[in-house]
Amino acid sequence: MDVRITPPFAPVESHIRDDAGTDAPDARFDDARALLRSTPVRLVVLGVVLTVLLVASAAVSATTVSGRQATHDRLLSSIEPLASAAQNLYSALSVADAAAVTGFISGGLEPEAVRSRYIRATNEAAEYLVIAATGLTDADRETAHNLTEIGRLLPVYTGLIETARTNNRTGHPVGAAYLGEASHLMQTELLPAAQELHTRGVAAVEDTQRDAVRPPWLAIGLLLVTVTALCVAHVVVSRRCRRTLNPGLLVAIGATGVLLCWLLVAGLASSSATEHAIERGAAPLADLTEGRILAQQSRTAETLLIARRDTTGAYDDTFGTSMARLGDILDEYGRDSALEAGAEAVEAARSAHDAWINSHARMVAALARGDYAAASVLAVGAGPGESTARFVALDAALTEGIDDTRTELRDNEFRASRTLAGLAPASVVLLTVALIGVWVGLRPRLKEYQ
Amino acid sequence: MRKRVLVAGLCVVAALAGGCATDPPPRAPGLQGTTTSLPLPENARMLESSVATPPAPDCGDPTASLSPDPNATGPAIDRIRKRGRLIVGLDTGSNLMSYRDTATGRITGFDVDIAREIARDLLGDPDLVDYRILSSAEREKALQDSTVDIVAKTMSITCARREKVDFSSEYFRAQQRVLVVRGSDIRSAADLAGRRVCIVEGTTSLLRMREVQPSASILTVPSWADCLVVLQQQQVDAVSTDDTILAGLASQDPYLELVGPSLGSEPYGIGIRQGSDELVRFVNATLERIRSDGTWTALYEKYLRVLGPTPSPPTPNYRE
Repeated sequence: MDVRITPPFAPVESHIRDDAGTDAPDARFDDARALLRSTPVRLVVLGVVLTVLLVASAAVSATTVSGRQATHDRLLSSIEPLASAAQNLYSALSVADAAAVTGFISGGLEPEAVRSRYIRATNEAAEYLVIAATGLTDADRETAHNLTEIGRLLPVYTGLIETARTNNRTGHPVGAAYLGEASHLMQTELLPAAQELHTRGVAAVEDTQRDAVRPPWLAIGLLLVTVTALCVAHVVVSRRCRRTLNPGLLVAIGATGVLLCWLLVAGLASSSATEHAIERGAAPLADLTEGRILAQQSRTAETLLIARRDTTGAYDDTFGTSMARLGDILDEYGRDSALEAGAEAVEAARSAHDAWINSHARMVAALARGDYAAASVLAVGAGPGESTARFVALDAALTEGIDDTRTELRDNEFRASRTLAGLAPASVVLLTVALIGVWVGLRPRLKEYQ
Repeated sequence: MRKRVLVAGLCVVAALAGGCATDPPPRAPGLQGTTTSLPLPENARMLESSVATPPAPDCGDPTASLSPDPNATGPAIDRIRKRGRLIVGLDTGSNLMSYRDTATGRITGFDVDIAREIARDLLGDPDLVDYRILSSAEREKALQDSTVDIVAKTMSITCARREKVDFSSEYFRAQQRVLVVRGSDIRSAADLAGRRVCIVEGTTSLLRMREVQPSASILTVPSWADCLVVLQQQQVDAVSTDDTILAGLASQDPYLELVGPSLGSEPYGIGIRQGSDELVRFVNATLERIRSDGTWTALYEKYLRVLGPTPSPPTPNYRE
């Protein structure tokens, strides 16, 4: 303040200040620099940097790895079973409807086998519905809606079928109208809901896998930086203190290096297993389940065609379109030589598919020339060359392919999860060891300056 | 002092961990609140009441057909004989007239047996018949497209239909009435104002109902059996059509009854593709035969006795 009021004196004062020397800001800065350049402070800074790196690495590695494992476990424990149960639910519902319609074609009381197929299928549907519902933890509104729709309509459907049967038994032709109403309900409400449920299940599997397919690069990169920093620290410390080796830092380097190698190997292996699970499991599985649904839809069209003596060609068109799409799926599958799982089953499905188209064409021809009796035998008869046997063979082959690809998917997912086993706790332990090593290594050097 | 810090630290950790653990678990999905009414038959729909019915064309006496000729020949007959089967359009939801016998799975009924008599004369065997299931609205188109040779399906002869297809002579005369649940307050068509009535699409019953009771709301379905379903499911209050069909529906449910006077008479004819005059003459010859040899009376007694004592068959009317 005084300085500003009396400017003439200012130079003098500044002169005095120059004499003071040690108090000057420049000098103080130089002093701090010197302090920083001093070995003990450098060592402390080094220690802190290394600590931060190690703690960050441990945190990132542990969370990444355990996150991955949780993802795989979630996929195995809920998402994949839900998709699978949805697929089985669709099938059971479709079988129930086909059995119910078949029972009415033959006239009189329906054959016992057909009736028991219907009962078994509705029971299975109820069971799969529950299994699918237990996978429902994310309270997904759409999924919940589909499940409750099916849960609500299934008893309505069975009620209508029973009304149809009762009328049939008492000789009232109105039974056929009840059957038509029930089948309409199945085709327009229940099956679409089941198919939507399955589609969403497949999408959830794919999304979850996509989360886990990238190797844990962040954790690997951070560990790489940490190891490099530890090596640099070791060089600096041994040069400054004229000691060739620092055991503490060497332990830290070793522990971090081991973790880096482990994470690199396990992370890459897990990623590749996930990739396998997608390419050889999930993707072909989705194709085959779509194929099985198409086969079921073709069978429904064929059964309704004969039950309603349809001549408009509408059901025949549905059959043709669904079967052509199924043929494309099977062809594409056969062309992909990388697909080993299910390849045999797909080949069997391919020949059953062709044979079925053949028997269906004979059935349509019989219907066209007015021979309903022959047409109905071709459509629902029990002979080995007739549509029923061909459809059963096709469905069995597709089911086998689905089982194979599902096993491939689950095995690879399990491998992806297993390779990461123990890595999360190990990364915490190893990096704690490294941290202790750093401070044990630096402490004696610091003490030398006290 | 140090201990206290440790305890405080543990508390903080516990609180943080506890905070994570007490996240509310995902809720079970709630009820969707959808209506729980029973489903309707396929293609059932409420009719727009504002749709005006086109005025019926006038063609004099629509029942006047061509004179019978048991020896008639021509391309339509040749085609059937060459195929070896008579293709008949009908439906399976008109109990008594044409329906599926639940015990045998075969299609049978009054109309079906008339068609079988035609096959007997045409091909020598009543079993050489094949059936195509048609809804009422599809009957005329099926004849125009030659999907079927004849239609034997409670088809009323009208001037409007004569513009598209030909008819045999009249082989039955039905009366349109109303079917309700026993104990209903509906006693005639007059009581149907504002009530729900089931009628099959593309029928003369529908046209007449709109004429006599325009304020009834009408649910249309593909077949008469579907009308019984919606009546039993309490989705309509009444069904209105010919007494032949209504009696067939009532015979399947003891809780139903026919009420009110006739709303009008319906002359049934066999529908035949336009231009197949020789087939019309041949079918008329068969109808002549069954009227005179007692077959008609036997068929009436076999299927339609619920309608009352056996009348004499309707008198044919020929224009040339």
